Amino acid sequence: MKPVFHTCIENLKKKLIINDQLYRFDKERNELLQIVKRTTDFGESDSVIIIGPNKSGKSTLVDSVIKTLLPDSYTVVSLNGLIHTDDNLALKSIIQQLQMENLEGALVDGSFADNLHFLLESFRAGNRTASKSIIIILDKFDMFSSHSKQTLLYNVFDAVQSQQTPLCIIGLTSRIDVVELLEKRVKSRFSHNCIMLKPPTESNELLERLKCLLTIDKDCKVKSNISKKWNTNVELLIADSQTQELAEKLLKLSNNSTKLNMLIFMALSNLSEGEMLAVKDLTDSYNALYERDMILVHLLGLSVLELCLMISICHHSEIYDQEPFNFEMIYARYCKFASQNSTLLITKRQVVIKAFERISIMQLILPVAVAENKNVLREYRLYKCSISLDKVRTASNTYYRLPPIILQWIDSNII
Amino acid sequence: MNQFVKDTLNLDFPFREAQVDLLCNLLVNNQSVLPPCLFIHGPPSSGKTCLVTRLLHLIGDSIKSSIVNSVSCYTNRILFELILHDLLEDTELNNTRCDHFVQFLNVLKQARIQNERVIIVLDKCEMLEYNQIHVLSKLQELIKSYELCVIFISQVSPTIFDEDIDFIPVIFEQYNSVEINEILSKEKPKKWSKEVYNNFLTVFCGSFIGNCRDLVELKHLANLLFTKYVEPIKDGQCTELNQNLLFRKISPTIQLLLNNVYLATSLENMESLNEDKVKFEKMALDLPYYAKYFLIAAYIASFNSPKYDRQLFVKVSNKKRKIKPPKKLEISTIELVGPKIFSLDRLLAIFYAIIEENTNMTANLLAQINTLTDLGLLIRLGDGKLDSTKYKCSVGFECVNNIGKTVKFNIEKYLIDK
Repeated sequence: MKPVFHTCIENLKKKLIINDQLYRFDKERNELLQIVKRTTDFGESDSVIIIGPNKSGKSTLVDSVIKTLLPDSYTVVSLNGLIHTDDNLALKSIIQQLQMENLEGALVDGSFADNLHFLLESFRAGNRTASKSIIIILDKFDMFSSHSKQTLLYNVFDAVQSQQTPLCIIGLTSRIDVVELLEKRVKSRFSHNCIMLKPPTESNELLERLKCLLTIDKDCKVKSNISKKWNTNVELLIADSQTQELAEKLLKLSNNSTKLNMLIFMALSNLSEGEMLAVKDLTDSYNALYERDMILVHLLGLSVLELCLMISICHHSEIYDQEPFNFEMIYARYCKFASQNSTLLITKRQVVIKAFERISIMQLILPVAVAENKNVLREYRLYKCSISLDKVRTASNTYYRLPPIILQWIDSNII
Repeated sequence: MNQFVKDTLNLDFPFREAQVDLLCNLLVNNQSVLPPCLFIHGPPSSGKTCLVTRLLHLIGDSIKSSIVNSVSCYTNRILFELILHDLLEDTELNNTRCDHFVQFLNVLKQARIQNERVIIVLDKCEMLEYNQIHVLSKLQELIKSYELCVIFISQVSPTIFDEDIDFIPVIFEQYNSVEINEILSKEKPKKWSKEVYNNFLTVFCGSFIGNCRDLVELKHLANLLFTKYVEPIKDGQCTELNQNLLFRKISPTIQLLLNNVYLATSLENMESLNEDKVKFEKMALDLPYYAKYFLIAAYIASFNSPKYDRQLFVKVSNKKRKIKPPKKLEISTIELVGPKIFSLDRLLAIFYAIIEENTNMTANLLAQINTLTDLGLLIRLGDGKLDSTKYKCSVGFECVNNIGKTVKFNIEKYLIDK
């Protein structure tokens, strides 16, 4: 016997992960639809770039537009700058996605020039009315502009300009200066259509979305009385002042909508059997996800010796105004403290150097030079530290059974 | 199912209830979607990899998993092959070569894992490139399989990630001293009573936890120390419960081990650590006579500024002129910044100044310098041609001082900063 709300929760979780619902952006959607329709219906090639912060719903917007088109009128080619890291890979992927491998002249193993020639010939062979239109989606558009000479971008934008197979190029990016990244010859071929997506700025919008995400749809296979019960609970939840506070806090943290999805996902996963979602679950998840201070956790996990080294490092950074340091400097500082205060703290150099290495493994301190220089001895390798003395102070105040002498040392006159 | 897994894990991993709870809630639940990306982090030896491996083993029937240690994946291809090998059947593999993410994703899309629950674990993920982490964290979205989860395990806090990577953090805190005591007490050797072992642990934890909270290292040290601890009881010198005497007998060993934490001490080499004489000889190195002088000269050249050379070494009427050391700086910086570079000429000049007898400059003598660099005692910079080579001394003061003693040479007289 499954608990009552099991199916509800599973359904909601699925909805969260698939995340294909578009909120807001009706105007932008219409605009994009117009452009794409012109290509698919009338064969007019065009290009557009959608700019919006990460996870603001760019891909969802494009997907929802494409879904409304007639299925036979287009072919989609989607590329991602993260994956297609050079033009050759991107080109091969285009050929694959257009299913042209089997055509005469297409060589997946062929050289870049061959492939490009073949692709452009194929585009040229089509015409405005008879050919099926192609929609090319370039996710992480800014990364394509870093490819050498922007060959791919130049060629596809050039193909848009000439009258041939209808092409619609949709670039997605989070960089606002993306047009400036294009070379002059590429820029002049781009239509300068830009659609900006603005993330939510009001907590009401966030609450609205929260409600949408948590409400159970009618087409979900749950008994009506159960879904009704769940949905009333959700409405109460949204009305709660604590939830509103939470939404505001979340908004201050980030306008990235996936953060909200993660929050709900975690709250739902942690629900115990037979219970409905309560405010406490949401706040708990919020605290676990975004409120935990990861650096503090790290500092609290250090041994007393390692913490002492961290204090020495912070003192050094304060005195010398964030100058880099090496092991010898820190060791000298530590020895000075240990010999003045407590014989218990005096430790052999070989143990201290190990402790220092452990700190650097945890990346609490980072080497200044990226590549390891064999000519520099490890005692003298320079490091820098990004953790402030205040953080270390907070850590040592909550540290379990820290010798009081160390606490005094932190605040003592550091020079 | 869920409860059973939780109970088993809690039994094996004490003081990890919160983490076990969270991981089970997210991962163990048939027919549900998986979160796209988890990030597990915590200090070394806090049980991260172990717990995840055990969890995946327990739910192995319903899930396909691949656990990869990123340290070994120095190219994309190795990483992909390791993952694909774990996830796919042999027939599906058919030797496709994966050098890029494009091919990797294509193989995954075509494989039959679309409708299966898949977990990919990347241990020590800080070794991966940023780009790799970025793509892997979006793997679920990219291959559109919503029952796939990527778990990153790392000792480094996730502040290395930027906004674009979304993950659910799972934090493994370091055990505190009470917890460590509890965990260690499970390791009690069968022969001894609980009381003896607990007494021992009080002594042990009291002295070691300040320097080391790494559970693996502590276990190892506890093992070593306990064999020493019970020796007096075995000999009959002492009763089991005479704690004071036992402590007095063990404290030299504790002191010894405290100075060798993390240095791979074992029962066999424990004796040799004690003998200072061995150490001295080890440090003094059986170098030839001239090589010793060269090393001393190199040390002086590295740690003295050239401007004092004249004062130090120019002999006036065969008497060494006493120099007054210049005012000491706030911190003797040269000691802290490390050895300075010097040229071969300067090394030879100092060598002739400090060596008492007359030696001819021969090829044999110069070969000694090369021997020293080959031994790693000097560092050679430059292209290796004689006239343009520069050197640096790579040994510490203690070592050079010992060498100086073997040839009756007091190096401290020649160091400006000392």
